[in-house]
Amino acid sequence: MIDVDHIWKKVCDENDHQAYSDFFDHFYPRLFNFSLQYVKVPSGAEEVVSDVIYNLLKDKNRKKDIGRINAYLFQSVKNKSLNWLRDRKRNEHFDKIEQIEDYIIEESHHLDIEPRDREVFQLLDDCISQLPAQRQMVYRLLREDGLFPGEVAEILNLSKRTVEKHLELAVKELCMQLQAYLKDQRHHPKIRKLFPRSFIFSFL
Amino acid sequence: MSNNDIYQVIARHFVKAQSRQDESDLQIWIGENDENKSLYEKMEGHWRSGHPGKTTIFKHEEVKNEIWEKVNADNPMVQQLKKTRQAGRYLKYAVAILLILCSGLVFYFQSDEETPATVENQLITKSNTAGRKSEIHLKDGTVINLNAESELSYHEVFSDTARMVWLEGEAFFDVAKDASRPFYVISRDIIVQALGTSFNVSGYPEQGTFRVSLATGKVKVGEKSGSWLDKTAPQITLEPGQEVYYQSEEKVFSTVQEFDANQVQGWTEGVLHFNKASLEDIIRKLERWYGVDIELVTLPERALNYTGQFKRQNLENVLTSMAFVNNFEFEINNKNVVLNFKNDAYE
Repeated sequence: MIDVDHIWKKVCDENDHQAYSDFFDHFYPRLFNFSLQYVKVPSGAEEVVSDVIYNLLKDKNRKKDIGRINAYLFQSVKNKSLNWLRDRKRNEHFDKIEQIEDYIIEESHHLDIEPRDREVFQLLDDCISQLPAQRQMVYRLLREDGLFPGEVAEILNLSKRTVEKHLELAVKELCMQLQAYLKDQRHHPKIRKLFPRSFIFSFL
Repeated sequence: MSNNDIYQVIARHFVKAQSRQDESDLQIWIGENDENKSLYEKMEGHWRSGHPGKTTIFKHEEVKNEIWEKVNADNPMVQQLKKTRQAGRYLKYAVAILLILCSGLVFYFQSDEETPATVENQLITKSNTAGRKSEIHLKDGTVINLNAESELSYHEVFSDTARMVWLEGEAFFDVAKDASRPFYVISRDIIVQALGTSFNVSGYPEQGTFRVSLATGKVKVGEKSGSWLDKTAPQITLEPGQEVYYQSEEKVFSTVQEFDANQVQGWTEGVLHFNKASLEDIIRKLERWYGVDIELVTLPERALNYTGQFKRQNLENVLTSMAFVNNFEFEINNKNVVLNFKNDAYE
């Protein structure tokens, strides 16, 4: 996991395009997907996130000492997303005109990991995307964005205890799916190749 | 441990909020069988990778360039932005609100991060300063002699499957027999597993060496790696009278060798023992044993290689005896000791 606070410091200190680029590449997809959970409209999420990033950069001299830049950004995107929803009626014409589908690309990572693990990672990713919305958000913020449970609790207006419970249940779900997969692989390595994983899981 | 508990334990490991109890619970669970081990390794690998699996990318490069240009543009461009983006009108307020929120957040997190995970089973820590030794009696009947500048931690109540203690420094263990609950000593990089035995573990941080010496019974010594209770991990079994060293830097165990019981166990009976000790060894040992600070006024011309032992002697007697052989003068001033090596100026 990259050190985002370090990159942010670099952006502030050096005003360097490469640092900015790293910073943007890290945060934009994450914040965009986070915002999308609220606003549901890609162009809306894009507006929210680019506003947040722009405001941050414009004011970077005053904001360079923010201790936990990721917590700050997710909190900002959440607030802005809710504002966007509130103001949406006024902006309704906004997203209807756009052919947004053209811009959406599904990007898959894990290209740099061992092929042996790739399938397992893919399976876990799939499981995560099928978790209930709130639980999924908690899991992603903790795992992908490196936030602390206390930070996630603050951002999602939950108690820390609830965040921990969500994480525990998500871990349980993933473990059980993975366990079934591993067992299946041990006992029926050939059958597994004939049927897609999802097919097998539908019986479990 | 029930299955549900292990998910909690794993979850706490993921967010680095695990207690020592969690650590041992996880290791025991991993050690139970290969399925558990493989499951945890894959879960953990995935968690650590931190990559979002599939993400929706939307106008990534466009937005990236747009923001960069706007941030670096002159004022007219900024105004242009405000026209096109209605939200821009509320920029100032948004920034103000966010700043307030943010300062609150930062404060909240700072206090939040410090909170340790709640542990019902209290962790007890006993430590000795230099010059002090102590004897600790555990509830299971195990007796531990803890040497100077050493620290021992353990849970008030041991679990049903294992007895675990954490050691910094040196201690001699006389472990009570309990075949159903192995006794584990975790000394930074190594772990010693015992049933009913007596043995010595020495691993002072500055030495970079861990040394396990067995007096009676049987122990297994292994490296503390990701899953050190893993039954397939290499372990060294010691017979009584044998010892093994572990070098932290090279991460290797020495060959098993016989040891001098006096040298290893002597300290529990007040025997101060030097075996071909260098000046550095001598100073460290004396400082630790007597709780003093030793200062050198001059260095010896030749490296020291001192062998000797003292039973329940005070510092003055020890130094008097050593000074004669090693050709130095000394002065003891309360807790400060000065050594002055007599080197012949003309030779």
